[in-house]
Amino acid sequence: MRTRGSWGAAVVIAAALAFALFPVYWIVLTAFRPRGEIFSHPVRLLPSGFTLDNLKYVWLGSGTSQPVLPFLGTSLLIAGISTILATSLGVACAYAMGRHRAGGKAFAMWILSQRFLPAIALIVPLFILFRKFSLFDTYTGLILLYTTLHLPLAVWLLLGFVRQLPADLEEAALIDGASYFGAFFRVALPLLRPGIAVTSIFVFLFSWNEFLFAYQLAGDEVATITVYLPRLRSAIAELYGEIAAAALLSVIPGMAFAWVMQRYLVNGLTLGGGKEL
Amino acid sequence: MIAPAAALFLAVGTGPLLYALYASMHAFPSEADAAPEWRGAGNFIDLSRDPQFLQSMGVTGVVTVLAVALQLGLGFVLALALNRVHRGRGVIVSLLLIPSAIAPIVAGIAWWMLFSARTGPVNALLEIAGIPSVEWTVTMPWALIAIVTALVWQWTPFVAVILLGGLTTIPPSVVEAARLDGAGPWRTLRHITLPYLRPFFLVAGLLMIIEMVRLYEVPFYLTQGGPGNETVLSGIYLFKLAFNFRNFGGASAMALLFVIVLTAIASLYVRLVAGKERTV
Repeated sequence: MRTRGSWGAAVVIAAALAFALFPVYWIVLTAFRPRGEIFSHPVRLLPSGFTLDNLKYVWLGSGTSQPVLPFLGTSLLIAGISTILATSLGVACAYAMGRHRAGGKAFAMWILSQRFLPAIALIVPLFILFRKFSLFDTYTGLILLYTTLHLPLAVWLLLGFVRQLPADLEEAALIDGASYFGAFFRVALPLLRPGIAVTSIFVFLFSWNEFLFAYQLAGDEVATITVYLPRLRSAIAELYGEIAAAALLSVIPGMAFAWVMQRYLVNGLTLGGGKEL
Repeated sequence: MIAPAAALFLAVGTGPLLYALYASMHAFPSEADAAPEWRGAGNFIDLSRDPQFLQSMGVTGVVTVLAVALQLGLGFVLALALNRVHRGRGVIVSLLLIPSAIAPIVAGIAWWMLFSARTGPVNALLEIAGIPSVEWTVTMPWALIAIVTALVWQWTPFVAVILLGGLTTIPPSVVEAARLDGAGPWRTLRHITLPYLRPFFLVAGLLMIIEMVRLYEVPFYLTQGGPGNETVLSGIYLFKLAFNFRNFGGASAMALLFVIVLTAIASLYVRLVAGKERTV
């Protein structure tokens, strides 16, 4: 049915796509644009010249800035380990809660309340505690922090998947002589694979993108990519091309994950929206 | 099996929160080894007399109201449009969610470039339209508008996806019955779509309010709190208190105020979610 309404919908969606993607287009454009053209007047909105100088600048570093690769590596290590930890702890916790009512309603509420604890509310105590336990500016500190910070989300998402899992299969396994852990590892875990995939992608993305803690509780010895980016901004030189190139590089790993995520995302959100308690 | 998770929450979540409660009632002398001194409600009283604190709360309020209203309004329109499209919806939604998946600091960088007075495309487009260009990030109210624009860009599609989830819960038979009873599109929207979407609006709105109170990266990069202190939002001011002024007590008191406000919001959220489960 081609009605006036569906044309309206097409216009709205086209406008939304243009608005959502224009900043991405501009970053890509600026990253590959020769320096002279970035400052040309009037501003050129369409692509013209092409250069790899900006990428080379952030890749190799310069007199005033470091090469980007070690920062990407640090982010990958911290986000990767945090994701593995948060997802495996999350699946154990969600399974025990969903299947065996472990911890009861109070525990579920406590976990949900952690979701609403604003990160900035924890920064001062964590700063003092990190200093005291020499976790300041360490991999361990940030990994511990990201794991805990994203664990409530992991439990919250996975609980929805556990609740959807028919109990008959595990009961059958138990009757056939499987142990409690056997039923969990051999039956439930493989069935929870989509939930685990969604959760790990969310946790990875949030850990990869995190800036506040990485900036205040680390940033000298252990510096992530989000801490590297603001360092490129200088009061003296306007390094638009170089900053755009670095921003582009920083986005690629996350986007690769987001691409995998899209198949599960809508499903994951609706699960989280209604069934977590 | 819940023990490891519970231990982590205690160590890194609830423990520090209790420490913040302790810190909010103490003063921390600048000497590293000196013990904190008891201040009672002193930190809170200081905050209530601190013009910069009050200003930061005011700015945060303005940004939150403007941004959340736009995110919900535009998100609703976008959700209605997406609901009419079936072919290619998955691809469209995943493209639209790119702004929410990008690091907030990169969102700050992107809009800093877009709003650059000399080299940015926003002024270039204004010039083409014959409108004089604007010094976006360094003059008021344009700096505030720049921040709100970036926030609307970041979160509107995300809100739209939540509302789209709500739209798919409306049974087609109800819409059909309304049509047979002679309801036009406007009345269907008003009396069927909106009531069904109410809980989804509330959930999306609350998530966005929490996001706005937490806000840090976008103003940190885009305006750096300027011009002057005009866009020092509450999150940025808390960091200034803690790390520039070394006023750990004051910063903890401020953090605790956030926790109280957000707990109120969260309990509302929980009640809504629980209520929804009962009715569905």
